Amino acid sequence: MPEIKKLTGRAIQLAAFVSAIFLVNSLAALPASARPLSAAQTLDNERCLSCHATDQAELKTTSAGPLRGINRDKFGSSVHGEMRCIACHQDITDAATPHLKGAGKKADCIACHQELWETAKQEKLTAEKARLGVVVNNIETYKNSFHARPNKEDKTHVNATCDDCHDTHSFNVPPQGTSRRTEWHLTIPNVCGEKCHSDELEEYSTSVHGKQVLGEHNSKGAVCIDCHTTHGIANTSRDTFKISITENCGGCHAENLKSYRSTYHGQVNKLGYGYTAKCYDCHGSHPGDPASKVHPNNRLKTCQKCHKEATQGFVTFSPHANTHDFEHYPQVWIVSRFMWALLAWVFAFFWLHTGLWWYREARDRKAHKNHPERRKKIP
Amino acid sequence: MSHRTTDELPQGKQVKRFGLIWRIAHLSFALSVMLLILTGMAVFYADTTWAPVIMQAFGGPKTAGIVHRTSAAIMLSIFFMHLIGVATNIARNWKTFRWFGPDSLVPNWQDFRDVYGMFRWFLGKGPRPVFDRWTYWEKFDYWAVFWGMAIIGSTGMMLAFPNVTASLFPGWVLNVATIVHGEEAFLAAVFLFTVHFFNNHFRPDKLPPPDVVMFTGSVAIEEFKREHPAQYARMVRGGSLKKHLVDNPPRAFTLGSKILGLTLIAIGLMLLVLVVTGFISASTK
Ligand code: HEC
Ligand code: HEC
Ligand code: HEC
Ligand code: HEC
Ligand code: HEC
Ligand code: HEC
Repeated sequence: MPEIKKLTGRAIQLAAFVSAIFLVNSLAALPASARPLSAAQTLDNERCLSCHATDQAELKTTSAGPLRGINRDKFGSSVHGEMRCIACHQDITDAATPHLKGAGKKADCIACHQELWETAKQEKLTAEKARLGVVVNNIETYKNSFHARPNKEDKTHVNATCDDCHDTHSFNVPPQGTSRRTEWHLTIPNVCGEKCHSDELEEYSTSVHGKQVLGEHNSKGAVCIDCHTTHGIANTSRDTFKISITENCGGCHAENLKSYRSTYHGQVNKLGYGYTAKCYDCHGSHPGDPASKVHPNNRLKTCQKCHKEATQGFVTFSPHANTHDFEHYPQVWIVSRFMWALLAWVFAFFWLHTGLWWYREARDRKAHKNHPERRKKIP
Repeated sequence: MSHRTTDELPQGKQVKRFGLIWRIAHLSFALSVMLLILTGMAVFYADTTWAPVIMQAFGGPKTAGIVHRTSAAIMLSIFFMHLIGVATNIARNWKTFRWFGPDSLVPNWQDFRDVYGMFRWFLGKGPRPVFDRWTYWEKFDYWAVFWGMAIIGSTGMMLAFPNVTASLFPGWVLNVATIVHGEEAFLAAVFLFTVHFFNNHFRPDKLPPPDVVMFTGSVAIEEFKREHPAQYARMVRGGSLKKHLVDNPPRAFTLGSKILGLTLIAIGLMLLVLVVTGFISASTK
């Protein structure tokens, strides 16, 4: 009995609260325009899209730029296609122009997905929802990246948000290994270049890699993220970048990485120091003619960037010499064979000498033969 | 029965084998070569897990490079001072110096006969050869330093001064110098820490290590007689043994030398482990 009383008491309290809010809300809304609506059920996606869809007239904004429209089909087929607009846009509490923003959170991939992943972990659904793990991983990587840091000119914004690279409303990176993924991959230079890095895109489009990707649609050519990584993009003047970039080039140019690693430049880089010559110090990063910096006519100048006093012989030094290519590096081939033979002979002789000596001396000791008298007569 | 007389060993005496300067030279050589190996191999085997740790301990490749060059400078200057010393010594005794005699380090036919004799002994086909002042493996150690100095030193200089090198030679000389420098250093390191250590410290007759003759300068007369019987006999015959006898070094000095010897051996063996792991990881890649 007391329970029922309690419950009815609660119900009355709640009703009073709700109606009070209702009253305040409608009173506040009244002067703007006559809109009787308030409850969430009328803020469905269709209603939002009636103004925000791409097929609608462009909206007038009070803020600086125009609003991006939402493509119905793309939104529908995006990973969030089943979600309600206001699930993400919790600060939008009406359908008026301009919106009277509520206290709800603004849409934020990071907070929402970290929560989703926590829930998945609690429900032990991490295997089924592995993709959500990918999102969280990317978030973690992103957080330490150059893009997550405050912009130099406008400290209230970060350099790039998820949404800057992934249009949230159509976010749908196709699964790995599909031809759609390849298509998407080829558009990456535009993702990076169109809004932000137009100079680099321009340089890139004239480079070997850019010509392969943009010209020939060859997905084997390097796009921005092959060199810079995707979510972990580092400031290029940092050691992190200078050390990882050689590995990134090496992902495609394995032979060159290997030979580079056998030179002092590459060894110091491997040890974790970024100051010796890296691939791009000699080959350039994005520029047009890749041969220009390493062309024999320009090579000395390239060396002199670091070796100020470099002399003529630098031009004929082979920064990628290896010991197995006689055709290109005959001297290195010959000398390495000579050294190996020398090592083999010295060790073969002396280790045999050592081994036999050990054996004989140990036996002689056992037999107490190593006393001078027992030996051959001394001359 | 000449060898009968040789058995009357004076008690409490040792035979002098290395003068102070030689011992200091050997010690500085040992220390500088170890530093050279440590700093050099950390670059040569940059791929290993231990290399970056060493580099960090040194404060980066730039400081490690300075340590490397300084050690090289110490080593080369000792080497050249030694050359001058030997040259003046020979010049002074020019008339009487026997190039191929028992006191000379120049290889002679006897050395080749000794190698043959040793192998016969190893295989149980003959007696153990008796050695005079310098055994062939000691001579090899001595000349190996010459060879190493010439090869590693000259290529090292080329790499340390690439601008000069490249103004005199084509660029591939630098490629070749890199290979030779590294491989020869590998040879030197592994040779020192296996063969040289075995011959002088780890043979059954020498156990337990270390042999401290290179630190104290003198050797117990019994051991001297065992290891260099021919020289011993020669000294007894010529009556010069007395001249070479010295008192037993003070206990503390011997103990200190043993600790020093063991420390150097331990460091050497650790370096050997590093080099071998480097070699294995490089050749299995
Ligand atoms: C009657 C047309 C209309 C409807 C319906 C409408 N909006 Fe808007 N919306 C606008 C206009 C106009 C702006 C630009 C306001 C400005 O810049 O001051 C805007 C701005 C926005 C913004 C950007 C606000 C910001 O942070 O600057 C979001 C997000 C948004 N609307 C979400 C929604 C959602 C979600 C719905 C559905 C619940 C919705 N809108 C329904 C007209 C509409
Ligand atoms: C998965 C979450 C999510 C869903 C679902 C979602 N949005 Fe957004 N929306 C975002 C994010 C994130 C932004 C970028 C916010 C920012 O830049 O602060 C955004 C931005 C917007 C903007 C501003 C665009 C501009 O140019 O600044 C509008 C308008 C908008 N959304 C409307 C909608 C509408 C309408 C729907 C439903 C059809 C919807 N959103 C569904 C996450 C979402
Ligand atoms: C308000 C919460 C919310 C926000 C904000 C949000 N998402 Fe989601 N996201 C979801 C939900 C819910 C799902 C579906 C989860 C499921 O399948 O269980 C999802 C799914 C995804 C998936 C697909 C996972 C799969 O199963 O294939 C990706 C990728 C993704 N989101 C990326 C993003 C990105 C990028 C942003 C920001 C631009 C973002 N999300 C913003 C809630 C959100
Ligand atoms: C600087 C641009 C940029 C930013 C910022 C960015 N991404 Fe990405 N993201 C990309 C690119 C490019 C790809 C495609 C990667 C590929 O093809 O390997 C991608 C792929 C993804 C994928 C799909 C990965 C897969 O393997 O299928 C997810 C999920 C993702 N991003 C989530 C996020 C989230 C969440 C954020 C914000 C924390 C974010 N991204 C910020 C550029 C960006
Ligand atoms: C082949 C590898 C590679 C590709 C592909 C590549 N970059 Fe770079 N990028 C580099 C390197 C290396 C640097 C560092 C250059 C330097 O410091 O001299 C760099 C530097 C940059 C910088 C820093 C500014 C500067 O010029 O120093 C930006 C921004 C940049 N890249 C953007 C892009 C964009 C956008 C794309 C795709 C259109 C792209 N990169 C493609 C290798 C690449
Ligand atoms: C995603 C793979 C990929 C990555 C990463 C990559 N490249 Fe390439 N690169 C290619 C392809 C494909 C070609 C074209 C090869 C051809 O034309 O035969 C190429 C060509 C080149 C060439 C011209 C080679 C020639 O023979 O003329 C140079 C130089 C080069 N890359 C340098 C770099 C550098 C420097 C980096 C890193 C900063 C890098 N590449 C990263 C795929 C890659």
